[in-house]
Amino acid sequence: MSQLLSQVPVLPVIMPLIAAPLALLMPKGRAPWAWATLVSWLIFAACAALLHNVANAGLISYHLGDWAPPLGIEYRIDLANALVLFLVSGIAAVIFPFAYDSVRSEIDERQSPLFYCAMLICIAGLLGVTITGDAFNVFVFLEISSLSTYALVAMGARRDRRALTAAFNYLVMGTIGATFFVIGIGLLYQATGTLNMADLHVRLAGQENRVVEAGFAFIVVGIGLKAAMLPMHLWLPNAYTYAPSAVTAFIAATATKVAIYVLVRFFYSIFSPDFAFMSAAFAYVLLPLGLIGMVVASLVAVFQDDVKRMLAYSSVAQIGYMLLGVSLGTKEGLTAALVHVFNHGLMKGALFMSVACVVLRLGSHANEAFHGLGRRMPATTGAFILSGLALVGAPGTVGLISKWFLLKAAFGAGQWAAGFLVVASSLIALIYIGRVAEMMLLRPPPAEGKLAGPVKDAPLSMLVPMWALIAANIYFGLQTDLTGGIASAAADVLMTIGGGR
Amino acid sequence: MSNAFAGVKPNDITAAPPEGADAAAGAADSLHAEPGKIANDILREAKDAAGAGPSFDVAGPDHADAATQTADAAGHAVEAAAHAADVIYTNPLPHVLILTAIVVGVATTAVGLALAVRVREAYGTIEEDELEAADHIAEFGAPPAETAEAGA
Repeated sequence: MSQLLSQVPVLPVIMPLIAAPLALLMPKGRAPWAWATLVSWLIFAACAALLHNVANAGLISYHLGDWAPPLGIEYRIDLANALVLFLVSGIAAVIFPFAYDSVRSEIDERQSPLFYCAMLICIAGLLGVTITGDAFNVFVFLEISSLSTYALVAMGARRDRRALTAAFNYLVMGTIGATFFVIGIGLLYQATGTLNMADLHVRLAGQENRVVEAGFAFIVVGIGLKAAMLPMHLWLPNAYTYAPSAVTAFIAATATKVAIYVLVRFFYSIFSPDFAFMSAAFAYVLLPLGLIGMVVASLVAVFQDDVKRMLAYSSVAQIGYMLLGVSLGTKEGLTAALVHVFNHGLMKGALFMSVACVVLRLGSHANEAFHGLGRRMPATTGAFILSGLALVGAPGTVGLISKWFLLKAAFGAGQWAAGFLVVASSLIALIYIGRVAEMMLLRPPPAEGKLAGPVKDAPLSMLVPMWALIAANIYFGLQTDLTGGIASAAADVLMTIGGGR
Repeated sequence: MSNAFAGVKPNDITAAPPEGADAAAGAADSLHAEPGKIANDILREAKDAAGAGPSFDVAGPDHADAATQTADAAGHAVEAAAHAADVIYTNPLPHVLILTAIVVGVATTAVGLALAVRVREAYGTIEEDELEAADHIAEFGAPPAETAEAGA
């Protein structure tokens, strides 16, 4: 038994990787879904156990195949990635039970084993990126998750063929990002002769030369593309809009967050804020881009006539908040970024899930479909409004906690303008969420056309997971010990490794 | 083989004389300390160091009898040390990295081509301009030129 327990760190990656081809072999219909759901719950249990262990006993270092680092691949779990693992596996555990009806209506039944196979591979990739302590391993898992995401986005083609062009754009930009990232890793390897993150950190200390600088720049641009940092976000709105609803809910809540986590890991565990080029990158690149992203993407979101696309732009804006937190370069900023990674995953997941319910019943995510929804699908409307309030930052939800940490960090670092822009961007979020709320509550349902006619609320199989996620939104909004405490302890650890202020 | 070699592996560089062993150990350390240095150079250094050692005493402090070994045994020691240093290692990591990148590249190309096939099925064309025009019609209800005129 203890033998098995010592292998827990590898389970979140191994389980979906083995389960995925098995899902492919199953007959179409309910079997692959049930299998994937079961596996996602097991992964969640493993990740929760990891978080518990790390919180109590500190860093876990797992040597893959018993090859000692720095030569072997090491899985290195501290509080920062335990928190992200918990988020990704938790979202997966909620999305899978939710997905069945949504996927059945949006994807050809014959493709369902393929769909669940791709979802499991995507989870394996995202968890692998998060858990690993080896820089090249990050690239491999990043590509595993990205390739399956391209395929998943393209599966939306049955409902709207634009999913294909969106997926192709995503593929081209994502591959450019991955290439930049691997070039950066190559340069770091040339400068240090190692790929292990902890080892890289030791060897990079004091090396402030062109090779390291170039490697840093390539990595920031590469991961920036994957994270949809503002000028590199062009793949995101279309990919999120045309992907199948369940896929959007999953990747919106996890994929970009994992990319932000990778940025944090590289900034603080591999490089350190002592590097002169790091503080320059923070002050002149990441902070301005984060601020511009927050305001511009929020403004663009206000003028969308499609709710799903509006939420996609809102995601770009939220990435701006996380970048702001990271680029402050203080412990409080890092705490705020990690808290917001977790909280934004919860609220964006819930928002896209409520959109998925609307798509299931009305077959559309355009604004018109939301007219008068309050009377037609009250449970879904309630879910959308509550998670929308969380996005805005209403008291009692996770949104307020994120904003509170972020504002405290921004003012603490002397960035008054940034603090005010956070508030301004939240007010813009109030406008775009309020606009949809107005449509749902105050407008009459469409009287004629495709969207008219009686509509039932979403089935219980979708409502229960969605409301479970909303309960999490409120629970973590009131009970901040877990997220705030863990994030601040994680930031402490990262700062100590990074040797920052 | 004389008993001077008891417990010493044939390939073990530390079978070199004490001074040489120190130098070899130093060279092995520098594999980490000087990452730019090619591994082969380091091994050659180790070999030189092994050859340059003034004493061919292979005995550790716990092998008292080994100190009385004949010159023949010492000759064996030099041979073994030289043989050990002749084994040239290449760093496999860059190869592995490139191979992985190639595999990823092939997989990405496969997905991209599959998408192109699906695009062709759905749109009947893979011309970028026509695709954009078709998407434009889907979004705004008219081809790009007409909407531009209507706007003007």
